[in-house]
Amino acid sequence: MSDSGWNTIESDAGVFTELIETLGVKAVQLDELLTLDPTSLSALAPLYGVIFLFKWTQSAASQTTDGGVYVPEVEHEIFFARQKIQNACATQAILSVLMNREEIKLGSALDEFKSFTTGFDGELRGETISNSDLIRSTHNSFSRPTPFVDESIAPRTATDDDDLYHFIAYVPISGTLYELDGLQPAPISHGPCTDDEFPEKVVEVLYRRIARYDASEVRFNLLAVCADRRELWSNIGDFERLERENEKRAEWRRENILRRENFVGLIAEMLKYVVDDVVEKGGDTAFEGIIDQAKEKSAQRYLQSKT
Amino acid sequence: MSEDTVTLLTFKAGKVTFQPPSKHLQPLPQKGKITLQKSTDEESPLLSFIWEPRGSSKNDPSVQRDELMIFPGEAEWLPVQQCKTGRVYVLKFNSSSQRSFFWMQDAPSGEILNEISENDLKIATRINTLLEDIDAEEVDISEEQSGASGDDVEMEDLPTTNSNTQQPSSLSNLLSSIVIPSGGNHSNTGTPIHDISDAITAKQMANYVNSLDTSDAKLTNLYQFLPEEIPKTKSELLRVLQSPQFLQGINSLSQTFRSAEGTNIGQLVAHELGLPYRGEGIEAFLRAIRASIQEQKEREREGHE
Repeated sequence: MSDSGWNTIESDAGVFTELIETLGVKAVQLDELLTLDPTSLSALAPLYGVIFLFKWTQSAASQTTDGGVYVPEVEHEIFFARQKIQNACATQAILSVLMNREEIKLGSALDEFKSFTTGFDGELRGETISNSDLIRSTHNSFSRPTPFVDESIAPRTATDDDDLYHFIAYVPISGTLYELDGLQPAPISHGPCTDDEFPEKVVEVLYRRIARYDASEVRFNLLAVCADRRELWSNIGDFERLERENEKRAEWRRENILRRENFVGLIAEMLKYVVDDVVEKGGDTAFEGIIDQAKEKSAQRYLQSKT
Repeated sequence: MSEDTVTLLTFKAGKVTFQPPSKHLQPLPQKGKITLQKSTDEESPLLSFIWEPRGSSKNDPSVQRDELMIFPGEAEWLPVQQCKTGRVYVLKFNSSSQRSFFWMQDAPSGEILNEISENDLKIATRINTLLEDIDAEEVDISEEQSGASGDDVEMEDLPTTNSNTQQPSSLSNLLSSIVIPSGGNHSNTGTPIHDISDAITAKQMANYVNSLDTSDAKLTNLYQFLPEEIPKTKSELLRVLQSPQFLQGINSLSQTFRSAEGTNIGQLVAHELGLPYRGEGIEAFLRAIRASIQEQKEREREGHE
């Protein structure tokens, strides 16, 4: 992809955690929540915010505030950014949590970014994120390199077939629960909310949101932005949980390594061995059989999908 | 293709489209019919779901028929409950968000026009049975009840329906589903291979590796294609071959071949991987893989002589 583009990256807690660590953020992690209830959120204290992500559809993204109210006047004071680039929207939602929680150690690069954008409106902040070389290149480092870039081929743009996800941040900021959605014109206030009340109140808001969708149709997911669990367990001496957390980190690390590969070499080499094996056992007929069967499968795939 | 197919069910139905801005289900006035066919020319018979305008000739290429091939258990035929002003059904796919909407055009005998009739229910039962099992025994629907002989419901009887609960992204795909011109045949000789895994799956690769002895030199060769940080062992190689990221790699390479139609990406790939060039596309790529093994074996033979 070109130097100025934002690649698609996978929506995964392991990806986002390593991404913010690479940006310089200290002692913060993302965790996927499997259930939507206040108890599982409270278990992640200190909890900085949550990110609600769902498969983007026109109606799911329709501008409804779920009982909240737009507060355009606060957009200068809190970190709110309008979405400028689809692929940047996960990173943008995470920044919307991080930048609005004073206690988070952002690291020098993001500290600088934060002070640079102080007083900007949502439009300008969105632009600034889109144009940030640091954030973009860190984001892009989690995508698979495109095999065989041919300059004559136009870069692929997202189509209806692609899973487009939209990310919305919910953060308690100075005693108010805010919804920060880059597709909305302004931050949305969901009323007074202390940090302690946040798990309960945000679940209420999310239930209102989910009720709008046909549950079978919209896939959604919830990511918590919370303190690094390893530090927590190590501080209280819970070595069993610390060990589990370390294993999880090791798995995240491994997955992120695999995400950066396009495996072209391994695929070709494996195909050689398997094809050779097929020919050894069944000769030419077996090889042609594989080609025919592949065409048959492709034909069925074609007939099933839309043209 | 009529020689190779058996008609299982026919009934009158029109198409319904979705109007994204207004979120309306919009029935189209055209008189149509839906036919469920079984193809008999294959080992595993497939169910075809065909919508076509009534009275059209099958051989008229200008007539657009919609045809969907459906695997057993892949789709359901369900009434659209939100629609209170007509008898609208949706063909809903379980594996994707794809769905197609139709309105029943058989006039129910003396019943209320906008309510699902008994005959609609019978048709629905039959369709769902066939969608589950193509060879299911015919039960209770005679050609007369279900077929194209009764009176029509007219378009005016069926006002536009507002259905906010539906999802536009899937609805907008509604009837863009496969349109096969009438008379088109299903012979697949011209179909390009869509995905490498249609020919050889990651599972086959993993099975192959699994069958190798841990001391096999082939493993040592394969290890050099693993990312640097991954330990070079058989079990780690297997984990990689079974990972979603490796599958995505296969998809992505396949995608490269597909999106590069009309270019010479195959040449580039062949060059990069040191394969003989056999043309563009996945089939040519697989043939190049095959040819490279033969070349390698010949070289080895010459080396021994």
